[in-house]
Amino acid sequence: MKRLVLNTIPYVLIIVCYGLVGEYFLFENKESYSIDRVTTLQQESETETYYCREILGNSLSNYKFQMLKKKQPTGVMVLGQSVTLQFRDFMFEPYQDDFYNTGLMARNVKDLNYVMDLIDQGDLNKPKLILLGVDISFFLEHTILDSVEWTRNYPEDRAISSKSHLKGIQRIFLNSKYRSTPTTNYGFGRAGMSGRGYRSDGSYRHKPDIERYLRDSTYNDGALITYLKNRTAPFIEPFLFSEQKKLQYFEFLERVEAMDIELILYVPPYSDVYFNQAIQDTMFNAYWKQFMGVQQELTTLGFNVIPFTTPSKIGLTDHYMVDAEHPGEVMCAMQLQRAIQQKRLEGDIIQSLTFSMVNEYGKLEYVIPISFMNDPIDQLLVKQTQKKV
Amino acid sequence: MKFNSIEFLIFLGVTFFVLWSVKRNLKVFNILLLIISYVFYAWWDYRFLFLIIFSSLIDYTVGYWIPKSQHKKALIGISLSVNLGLLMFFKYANFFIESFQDLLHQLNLQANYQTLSIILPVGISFYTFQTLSYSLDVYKGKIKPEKNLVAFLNYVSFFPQLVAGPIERATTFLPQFSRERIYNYPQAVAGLRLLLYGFFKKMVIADNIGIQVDAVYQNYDTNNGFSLYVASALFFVQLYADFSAYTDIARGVAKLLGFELVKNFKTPLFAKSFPEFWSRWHISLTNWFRDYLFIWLAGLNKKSSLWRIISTIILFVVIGFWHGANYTFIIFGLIHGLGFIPRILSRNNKQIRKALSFLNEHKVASIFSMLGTYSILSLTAVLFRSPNITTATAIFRSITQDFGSTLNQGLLSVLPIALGILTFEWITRDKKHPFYVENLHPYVRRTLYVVMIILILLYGYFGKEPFYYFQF
Repeated sequence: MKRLVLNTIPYVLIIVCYGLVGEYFLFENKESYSIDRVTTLQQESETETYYCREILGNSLSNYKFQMLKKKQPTGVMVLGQSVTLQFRDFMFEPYQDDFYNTGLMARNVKDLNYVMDLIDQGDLNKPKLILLGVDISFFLEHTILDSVEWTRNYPEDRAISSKSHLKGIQRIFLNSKYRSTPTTNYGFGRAGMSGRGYRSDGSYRHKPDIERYLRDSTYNDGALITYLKNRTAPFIEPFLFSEQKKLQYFEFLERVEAMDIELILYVPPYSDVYFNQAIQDTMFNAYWKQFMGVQQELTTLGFNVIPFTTPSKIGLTDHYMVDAEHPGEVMCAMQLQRAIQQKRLEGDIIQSLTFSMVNEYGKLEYVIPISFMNDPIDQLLVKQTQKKV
Repeated sequence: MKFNSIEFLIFLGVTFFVLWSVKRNLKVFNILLLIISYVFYAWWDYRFLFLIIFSSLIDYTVGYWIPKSQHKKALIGISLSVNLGLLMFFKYANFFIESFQDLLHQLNLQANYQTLSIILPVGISFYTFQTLSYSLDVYKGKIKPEKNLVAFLNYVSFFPQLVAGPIERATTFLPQFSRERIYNYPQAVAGLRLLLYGFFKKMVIADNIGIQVDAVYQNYDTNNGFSLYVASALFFVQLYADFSAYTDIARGVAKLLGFELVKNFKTPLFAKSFPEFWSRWHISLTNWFRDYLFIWLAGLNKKSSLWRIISTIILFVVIGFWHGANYTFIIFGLIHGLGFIPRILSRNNKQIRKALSFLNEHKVASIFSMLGTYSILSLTAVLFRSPNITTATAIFRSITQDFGSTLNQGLLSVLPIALGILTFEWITRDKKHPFYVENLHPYVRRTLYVVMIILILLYGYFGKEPFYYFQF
């Protein structure tokens, strides 16, 4: 047996060396920091930090849920998909320190109800105000987002999964990009270290888009229109509106109201470039009419709705969008502030929002359409450019 | 616990050292091995552990009493009813409920039977047949009953082959648990070699091909017939690499622990006819059905060729159905059964015999036979791979009516992998075992091992891809 062990050792050593080298790069890129550790460090940090892994994957609903449980906001909670990720804490002053944006944690109505269950059970604090994104995916008859309960059955943290580590190490060895460590150290995970990712308030910093704008003031609509034309995700046929899911959504809204939580329903915008083309598409158009029917019904029922718009309809340009479907933070803040100023949103908490920080940041010289540029690391970028809106 | 997991490698390492540390005490060795096998099985789902223990105890008891009893038929009937009853319930209950419901609908009758919420116990199709073969062999007087309960329980639940075979026979496998355990270095090395080859075939070949085949099958409505046909042809390579990898790993682990398991494959993708294919593919299953079903069935009318054809078709429909409760498998079996007709007819027809031997033996003709057989196998793979008849029909429609000329890029990317494994298997087709490298210079051999390890680390699939035959 000794002979077998001795003869096997060289092969085992190859595997061990491979693993150690890979783990070194994962550690250097702060990819192997567990979600538990990241959320603790983010909460404790006095400066803004970002979380986004590039090699191992984010296990996002896990991360968001752990952070939510640690933050336990009693002020404002943002719920919804990626379109809500630009709502930031300072937009909800005076509740900026009692805020969390859970964007991309709850992906379907079951998830939303689960969050309410946790509040009911006392596992989560009851927030005074919820801003909820009214995403078109909530009413789709068939969507992959319904396949899992993302919050209740959140994915395993990939930093503690041996298979994810093995896959990550493969990437490191096959792609030299991952073998170079970021020169900056602004957060956790390879992207987080370079300043792209989820802030401690749950919102997302679009680093490449900010840098692109600073570089050449251009706007990139992305590939959403191509997805629509090719009927690829998220436009997989049959792209049908579900009355049943609408009913479930409305039941959820009633539940929130019954819990005495103020509610703002945010119908996210599309870029003009995208929307003008998409509306010509028969499949999209048919769905859109029904979706707008929901918006109308919500308004009629007296819910606080920030209605659908495109940038041009509110006097902006597509430059205020990150891409075809994601509004930038400046546009989000403007939509929210205007809706309150125009008395379209009711509620004590809503009326108590002061927007003084938004106004202050808005006056800054270097605000760009998709960012207030108020993160500490934005100042470095600001110094490199003279561009302003 | 899957073979292709880090947990299994740790489990195997611990098992190896623990078992060999008690090699001098066979009793303790067997008890520890049994505990290890049950832990391995319970890792999947501990609830079904009771099922395997129950099945084993039934056959141990039946086997014990058969030689002593006047009611041998009743006893074997108990074994058959319990084992096949459990298999039918867990694997086929919903299929029969749905089929009955469909039949009533066809007859315009109202029916609303709820399907049952049943989880298929892992490996039930394999261990049921293994334990049954013991009772049947005792009943036929081929073997004497095993008195040692621990040895018998080990025979049914030996962890390397518990989940997906090969299906062992009591005549050859059971005595191994009563033999003195002697550590054998060449056997252990051969075991490690099989493990390496198995992991390589599973993780580098089968899983990478599988990703592309899955992508085409999931979007069968947007792929042309050419891509669907190539996907089906590649699926057979994937299935072979996957299943034979499992067998290699099982045999390798068994060798490491001092046991020998039967061969399950002999380069089946180079078969020149359907009968030859089945003599090379999943050999332990084919032999089981041959010995316990076909010989009895065909023996009911030995002189009639027509009856032999019918028996063969019944045999392959049953083999198809063994794979899963789905009409696709039944039709798959039916077509494979029909593929035996030329050989059956050749028994009484000189011209057919001559033609078949020409197709088998002539250098050029045999290559065409091989390609022809593989082409038809690829078509039947559509049935094996499709989740239902509707999908299979749609794929056949695409292949016959919308063949096209462009090939899916994903499939194109894995073609070299498939050709690579086929080339290697062709070169080693006449060797003693699938990964025959003993004749290579030690340095070359070691370099080959290192290259394979590096390829597994760099290109192996570390996702959640289980072995394909686990679902059966």
